[in-house]
Amino acid sequence: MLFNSFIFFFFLLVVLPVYYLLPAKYRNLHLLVSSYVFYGYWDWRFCLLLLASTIIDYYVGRTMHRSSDPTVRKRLLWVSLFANLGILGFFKYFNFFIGSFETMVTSMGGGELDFLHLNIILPVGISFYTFQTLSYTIDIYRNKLEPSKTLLDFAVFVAFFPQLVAGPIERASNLLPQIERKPLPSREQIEQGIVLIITGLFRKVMIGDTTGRIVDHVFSEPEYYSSPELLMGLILFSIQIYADFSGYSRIARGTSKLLGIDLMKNFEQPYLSMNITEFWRRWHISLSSWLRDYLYISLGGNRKGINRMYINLMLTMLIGGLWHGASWTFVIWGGLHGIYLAVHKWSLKGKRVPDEYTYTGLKSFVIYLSKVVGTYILVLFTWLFFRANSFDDAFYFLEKMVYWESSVYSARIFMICFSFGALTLLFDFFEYYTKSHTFLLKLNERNLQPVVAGILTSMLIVVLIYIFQADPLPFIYFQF
Amino acid sequence: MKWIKYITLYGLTIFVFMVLVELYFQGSEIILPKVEVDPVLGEIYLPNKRVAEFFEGYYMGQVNEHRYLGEVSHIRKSPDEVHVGLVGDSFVAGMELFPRHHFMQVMNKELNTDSSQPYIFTNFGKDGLNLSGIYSYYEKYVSTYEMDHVLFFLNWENFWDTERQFTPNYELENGELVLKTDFTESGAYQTYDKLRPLTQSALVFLAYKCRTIINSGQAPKVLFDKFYIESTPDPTAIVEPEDESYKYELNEVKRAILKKLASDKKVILVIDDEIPQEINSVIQELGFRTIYLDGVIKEIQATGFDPYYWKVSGKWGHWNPPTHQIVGKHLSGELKKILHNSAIAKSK
Repeated sequence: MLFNSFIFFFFLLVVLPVYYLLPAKYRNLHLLVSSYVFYGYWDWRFCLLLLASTIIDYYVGRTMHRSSDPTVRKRLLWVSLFANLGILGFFKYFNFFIGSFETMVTSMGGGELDFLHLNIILPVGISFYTFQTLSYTIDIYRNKLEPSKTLLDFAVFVAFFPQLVAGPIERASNLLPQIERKPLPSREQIEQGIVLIITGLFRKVMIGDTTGRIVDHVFSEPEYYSSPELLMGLILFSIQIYADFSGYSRIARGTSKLLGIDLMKNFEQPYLSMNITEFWRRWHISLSSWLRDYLYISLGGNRKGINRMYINLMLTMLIGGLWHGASWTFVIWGGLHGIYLAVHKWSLKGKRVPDEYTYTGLKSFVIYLSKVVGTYILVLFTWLFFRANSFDDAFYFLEKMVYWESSVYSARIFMICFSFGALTLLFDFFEYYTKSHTFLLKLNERNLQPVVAGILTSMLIVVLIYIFQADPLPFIYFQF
Repeated sequence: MKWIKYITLYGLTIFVFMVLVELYFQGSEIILPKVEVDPVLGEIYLPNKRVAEFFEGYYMGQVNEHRYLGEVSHIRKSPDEVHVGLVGDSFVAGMELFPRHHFMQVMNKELNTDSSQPYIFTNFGKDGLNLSGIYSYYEKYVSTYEMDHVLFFLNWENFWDTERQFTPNYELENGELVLKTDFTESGAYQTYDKLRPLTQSALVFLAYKCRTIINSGQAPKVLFDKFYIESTPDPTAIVEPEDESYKYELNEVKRAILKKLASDKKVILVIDDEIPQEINSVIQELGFRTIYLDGVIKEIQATGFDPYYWKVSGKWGHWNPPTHQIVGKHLSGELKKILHNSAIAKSK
């Protein structure tokens, strides 16, 4: 069920009170049942895969922990990798690799091939929960984690509904201990949870869904649109994907807080980054840190020489691109980011990118602004390949940028992009300035509780009215 | 005292926030109200309005100061110009695609290529109208503009007896068509009139759409999604025949409207869909100059292409962009023939 639907509200209205009223020993069972109801709402068959992945990794983890034989531990790790990546590979990439192989053979003069293509339904969230369970078994293998004490707790860790279908991809070291404690939320968590859910919904619906209407039309049939209109579509996509995904992550964190659980932040104002390295510290943080810790470092990281470091970086980003979808356009997207990161790393010559920028006056602000705009343009270019339905569409778009045609709607296009962009940046500015995703609660510290309540009430009213009369757009990252 | 201060600040915050949301909706074109209710014409476009719609496709256009779609085109008609007005419902308004892809632009190009006279086309299309509504729109509004020819688009659905809230209706009094604006006496219109300025608000329009959904009984489906089980039809109830021709009645009022249109020498009737034989017979008897589009639509369908399916939204509805191109070319050809024949008849 979508977070931006009434049925999810009713679902929470049942799940939360029961959770609060149940004795502690039954809370995780309740969470597990709720999570499977949530997931099975899409298709009950998906639950079987989830269950299989859970059982395999639980017993792999336990057995690995009990064994001191490195060979046995490695073999068990391979069992987990094979099972999880096998499931992911089959459901997500089977037809992609078959099709790509056919294309390659045909282009090499091998004649037309027609291998079996299967009609496979992609289970929602499979990319997320397989990575989450893999981090569990890998951490146990690396002796960084003790296995879960009970299958029930582990099953809740895997299936925890607020973050099951689109992250954040949680680490067992963060989430498992909280689940094992079976907490009730504090007053602070309840306040933060409500603020995160409402502001997340507002972002998702009022920015993500509304930009998505235009983006879908422009990218579906780009031949009907002129150069400024295509550019508008791309800029709005950069806003849509951020608002959509960050909105979802906030709702996930907010819902978890209402259950007394703190999930990691997934976005930290990425479009205010001054360079591409900083961007990847701020964008989809749970995935980028997962790729760093379990792929980049496993490949050797920067420990095997400079050339190998760049290769590892490129491989990590290419695979990161492929993770997003079974299409070469996603691989190109990842590859572009890999090139950007490699070039930036080379330019740093060993220096570390600071976490914060220190302003020393107007000149430093202008430098900051130019770097932010430059980074945004680099990222915007990659979004073209991420969103375009094919390479043909992407190149058609680029051709239209080079051979620019005007549009009678240029002024309106500017206004549309400005309105959406301004609201997005407004949210980010307040978060950046207050260093808090729940910046509204800072007003409470100044005795402005009615203002906070008024803003949240207004946001909720507007969102509820809008989703009542509109077809809800699913979260973009559900397709991954 | 503290509570009064709290509630006042709370209410003021909501008010200010809603104003900001209103500005955001209008600036980002999320919702752009485009109609108001005229006491004579019923629902009409607001003047000088940007329009953005997301039906089957994406429409970005405008209503000009004279309340029709597009740029102003009628001012100071010269003797050598040929002004052609397009009148009809949503198929003519075409709010599913950008105006440059509309069949009117195809006609504009086709008729003005190698032509000794400039052809000026004007789109008077208005969504949501039945025969009575289209005719009152034409009689009371379109005819105030100087047109040489009027392409009057009709399809079968325009003959259905559907209830529309703010639409005038014709009645026959002593054999004459009289426009009745009884809707102005309804409670709904009285309320609307009192709140008229508010109806141009995007937020109010949103709330109105929600009310429409609730009144149509669709609220449970929206709220409960898969858990909503639609009531199963009573197996003992009489099942209406699948033939939907029962939905219309070619009554005396409709015949009178057609007769009036037939007597208007500017009017060229365009039938943009298959129509029942009864209606077609009346049209033939009245001697209309007519263009039929069902033939070209069937030709499109015979190629395996669905003229009503929109790939981008996965919906069926109005003509999609390729169909607009074909319809535009067909209409241009047919119009040229009609005008040529009319010119010959005139010269004789």
